[in-house]
Amino acid sequence: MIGKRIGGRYEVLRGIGEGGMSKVYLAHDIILDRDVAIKVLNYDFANEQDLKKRFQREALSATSLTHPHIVNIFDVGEDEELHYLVMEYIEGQTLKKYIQMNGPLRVQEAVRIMRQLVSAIANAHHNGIVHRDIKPQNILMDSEGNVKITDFGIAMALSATAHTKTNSVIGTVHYLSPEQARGGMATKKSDIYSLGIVFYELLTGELPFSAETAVAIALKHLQEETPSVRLAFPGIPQSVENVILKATAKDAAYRYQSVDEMYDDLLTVLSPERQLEEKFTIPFDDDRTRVIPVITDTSKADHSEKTKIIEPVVPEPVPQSKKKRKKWPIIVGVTALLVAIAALLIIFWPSLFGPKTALIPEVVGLEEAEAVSLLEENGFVVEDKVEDYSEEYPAGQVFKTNPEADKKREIGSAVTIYVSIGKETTELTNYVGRDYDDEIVNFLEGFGFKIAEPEWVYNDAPKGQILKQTPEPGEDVVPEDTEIVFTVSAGKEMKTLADLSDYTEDELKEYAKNSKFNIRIVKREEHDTVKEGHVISQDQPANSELEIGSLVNVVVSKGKEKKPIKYIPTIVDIPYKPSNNGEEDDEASDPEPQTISIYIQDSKHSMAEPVVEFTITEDTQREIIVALEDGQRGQFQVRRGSEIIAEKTINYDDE
Amino acid sequence: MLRFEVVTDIGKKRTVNEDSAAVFAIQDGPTLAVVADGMGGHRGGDYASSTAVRILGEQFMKVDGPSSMEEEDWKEWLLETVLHVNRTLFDVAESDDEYKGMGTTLDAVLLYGNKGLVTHIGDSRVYTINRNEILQITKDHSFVNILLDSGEITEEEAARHPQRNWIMRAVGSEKSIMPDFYQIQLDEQTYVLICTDGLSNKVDNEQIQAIVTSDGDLHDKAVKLVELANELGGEDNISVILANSSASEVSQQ
Repeated sequence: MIGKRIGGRYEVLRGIGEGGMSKVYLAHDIILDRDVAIKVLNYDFANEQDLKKRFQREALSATSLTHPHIVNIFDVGEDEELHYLVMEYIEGQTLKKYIQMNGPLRVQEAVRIMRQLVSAIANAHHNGIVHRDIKPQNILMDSEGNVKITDFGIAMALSATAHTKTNSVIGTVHYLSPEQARGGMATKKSDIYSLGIVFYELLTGELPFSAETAVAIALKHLQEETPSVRLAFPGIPQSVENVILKATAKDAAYRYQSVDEMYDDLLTVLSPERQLEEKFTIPFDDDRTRVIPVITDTSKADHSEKTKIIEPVVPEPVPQSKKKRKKWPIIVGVTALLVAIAALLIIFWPSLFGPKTALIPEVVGLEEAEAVSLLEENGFVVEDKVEDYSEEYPAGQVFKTNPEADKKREIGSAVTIYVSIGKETTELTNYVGRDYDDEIVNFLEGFGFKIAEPEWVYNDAPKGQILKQTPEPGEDVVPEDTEIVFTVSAGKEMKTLADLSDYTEDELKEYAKNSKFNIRIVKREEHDTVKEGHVISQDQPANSELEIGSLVNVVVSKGKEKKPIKYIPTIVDIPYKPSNNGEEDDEASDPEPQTISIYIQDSKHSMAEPVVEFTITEDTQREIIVALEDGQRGQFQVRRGSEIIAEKTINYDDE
Repeated sequence: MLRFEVVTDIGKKRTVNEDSAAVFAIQDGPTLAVVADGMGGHRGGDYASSTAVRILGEQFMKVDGPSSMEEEDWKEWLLETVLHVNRTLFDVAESDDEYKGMGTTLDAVLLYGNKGLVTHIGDSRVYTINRNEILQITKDHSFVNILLDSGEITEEEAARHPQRNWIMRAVGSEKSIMPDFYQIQLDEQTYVLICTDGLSNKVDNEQIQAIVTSDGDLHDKAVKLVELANELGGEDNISVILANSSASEVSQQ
């Protein structure tokens, strides 16, 4: 590669990096006279046209991003077998290297780097681009310590290949969100998760989840709580750790609602008034922890608000159990134990609780007002109301209480009611421009969407490309209740070309008008059997399927080939014949002129009139030319008065 | 009498057949059936699978006193040979850029008497099939299969997981590997099927069972399996070894 010129303008100078699927070279752009980085894909697209298109689309969409902390993409190209990206050349190193050399970083520096990264991702998200593979290997740091993110969307586009991959070539899964590990679509929230992991690594110099194989790491992302950075580095403020915990919540709904929110948090995270912040905890909610919505990136409800309302179920426990709180099953266990102890207490010392307790009534399914009054009738106080999505109960109905129905509680204790705001909606992604295929259908069906039979329309767009979707992109919908109708390009309209042979020019015009083919007479030539003005041949075979408007060239007959007119000469001796009454040997007297008439029957003359008349006074030779067309028969007569001196019939083919 | 059929097919979309499959038989001794699905690199996949099959075959034919070997001896022999293949491929991949990232699945089934010893790495599969049931003997060493086993994802999620092509164990891609071993019992009505994912991703278990247990000749069945995978898309290479211990004895009864 070194010394080679790619795309006619980039001279490869030296290698500067290598990934599982690509190599990066420093190159010089001889047209703009500047250094660039060229990423050459180590990938054979030969049989993967879809993948190639996807890669190019992702790469092209990333060229639209301009941000001080995003590596500029200048060009996407292919040169024979090579597929490459031309990018801004950053003199420096990857953030991974930097962490390996300098980690763990000071908190101030880590926060400064995070602000740059988060602002870059915010810019991409505002442009509708999800990175999907944020990791320090994809982040470059220049000599001044500023970072720039690269490889938007590309790595993941490439991983969609059908070819089997071994451990040694699959990318790192250390930064992969739980929903991505599960195979769900990467969303803006997935980028937030990865940013959280990067922040962890900056602060500790280590990865939160490590294991031998990719799948073991993925399982940890799915199952284990993010470890505390304060455990190893107690000097890190809780407010800083909270950013990591919130960004890496297993359930995307509990993460920052947007990178903007994360950015705002990072702006104040080191301010003195946040020194005494509480540790971020995820509210205990059975429904929530089970369902991890993979597709959502814009839930309407503000969960961060909600987290302040809901009281953790487990009261602040004794110090030594603090460590254990990290795992929900254990919390559930602890709760169950408490309940069991409570139950035992109730059984053995009923008098302790006796008159002052009551059972929480069942209010699930009731309207909010009814539920509140029923609870109050039973002596409970409704202090908190939480609004949230419910799959089962329509908006306005209570779908859950805490404590739940039939639990024995003291009269006058507080009950939290959960009021449905309807089914969870999802913002519909824009699929226009993508290919309509099984992948997209399976993917959307996986979220409960119904996919209608697509409407195929003829269009200039490539066949299979989605032209329109209903509902429109950006609409908030409930997947189970939504049928998506795609309008898909059927490519250009095709039509069967008729056999045009023997069409007259008028018929051709009529056919061109009806068929919308562009029919052009390109040549006229003689033909033995096709009559003049009729079509002899067409350059596109009859019955072939052609795009409407295609050019069809035809050749029209000029009729039979005409052979040249033959001029057939005959030399005729015309004897002079003296008159009978003259003296034969009267040589002195002048001979009497005799009139000779020549009649010709040929292509130019008829026998009705003599062609020529002249007089002779002696024997004369004369050349008579008969002009004949192909197949014609002609004749001539030489007459003296009414006497025929010579005559001959001549055929075209004579001689 | 052991009868077997080997069919390997490039499929309908690929330009290279990276699968290799072969059966090696020692006179009056055991038979070794090997299927390998190679992957990675420009030339690596084809090289990895064919080299694995070749080395296994060569080593097998050189075994000293095969008739005196017990099951434990064979197991040891298989392990050693597979590790040897792994080292060979790994060294080539390390030293030559053209072969970087290559690897291969490997399923080697040693058949002797009415028993079978299965060595397995990757996501090719070994099944035993009779009229009553079709049993998948091997467990895929794939990313999604492990997630599925752990209960983190459902069958449906696994089926459309974007990383369903990731395998966690392959011969030649890592310095050290450990194959899985399984024992199988055979009888006259039971067939052994060894196949690459080109078949198992396309044709479901019921269809495989129906074809394998239909009346007809072993060769036709093997060909029919491959044809069906091709009809259903043929996106990948397809290899099948179908073996049955005593078709001829059945007909004599």
